[in-house]
Amino acid sequence: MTTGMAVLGGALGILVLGGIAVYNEGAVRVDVREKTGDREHIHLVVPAIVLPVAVRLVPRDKLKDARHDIRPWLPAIKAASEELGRCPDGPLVEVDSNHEHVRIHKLGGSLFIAVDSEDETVLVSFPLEAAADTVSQLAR
Amino acid sequence: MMKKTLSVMVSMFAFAVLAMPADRWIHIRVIESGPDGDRVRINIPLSLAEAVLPTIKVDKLCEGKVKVDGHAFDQVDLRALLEAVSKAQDNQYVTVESKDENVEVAKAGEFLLIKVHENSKGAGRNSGAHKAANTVDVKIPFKVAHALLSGRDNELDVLAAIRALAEYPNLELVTVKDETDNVRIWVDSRNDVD
Repeated sequence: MTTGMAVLGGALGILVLGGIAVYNEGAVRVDVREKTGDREHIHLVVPAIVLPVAVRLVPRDKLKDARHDIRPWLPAIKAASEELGRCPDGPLVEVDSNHEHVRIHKLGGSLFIAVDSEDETVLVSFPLEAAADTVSQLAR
Repeated sequence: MMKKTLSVMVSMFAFAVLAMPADRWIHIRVIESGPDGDRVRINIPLSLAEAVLPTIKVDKLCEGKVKVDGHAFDQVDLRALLEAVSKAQDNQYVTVESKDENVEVAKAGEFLLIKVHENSKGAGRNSGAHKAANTVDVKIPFKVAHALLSGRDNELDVLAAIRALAEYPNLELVTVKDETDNVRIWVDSRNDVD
């Protein structure tokens, strides 16, 4: 009874701590809605804390080109993520035309990108800190 | 005791104010009145540009400096020219008038003003139809211009210019108006345009 309770307590503790960590790190959200054809809808939510780890698990040779391309830009991405994190919330880029609307804005510690075109609507959001961490992992 | 507490609080307040980043934003707004009616609004914190620029090392941009080999820089001593104008009295220093356009370069206080006005007659001459006159207005603080030219002969120190720009509260830098486009670049302390 005592051992069982201890195991249950431990498992609950890990779950709660894990939940807090995931909540603190935020999530990467991708939402794609097609407006034509099959009208597919893809909705993806990945805890941001998982991304740097996931990148580590991908075989090195699969990401060889990506690593090579991203390495020169790593300091810039890192600096931008850190500085954007310090900036007040607000719109960064807004592009409107008859056919397309693009919005990039910063809210809290996350960057939100929204593209609304005649064919589809794409919404992507990710925590800035996670972006820097993931890119760092990618460059290793 | 009271005095000590008060002085500590004042010191902390002063430190907090000094440590607080002065949020300066550069805004770019492009409004196109063509068939697509494109509208572009970009708001970038100067601190972001200041943080990112030194980290970029590509082609002609390195550590916030842009190499400008093979340009007019080779023939004209821009630094000496700028130095001379900045120390001179306020005046209109260059006026070029032609059938197609008028160009004026002037000094007004701490600012260098450049105005280009394309005459409407000239603008419409080719197509035969009347077109709106194209105008370009540029207002650059001498401090920013000096900072921009503070690098080597063949370099523009963009990072230094941005740092100098951050000292100005509200500044209308560039306005371009032509037949279809309306471009405005300015600096202020707001993080949105409207």
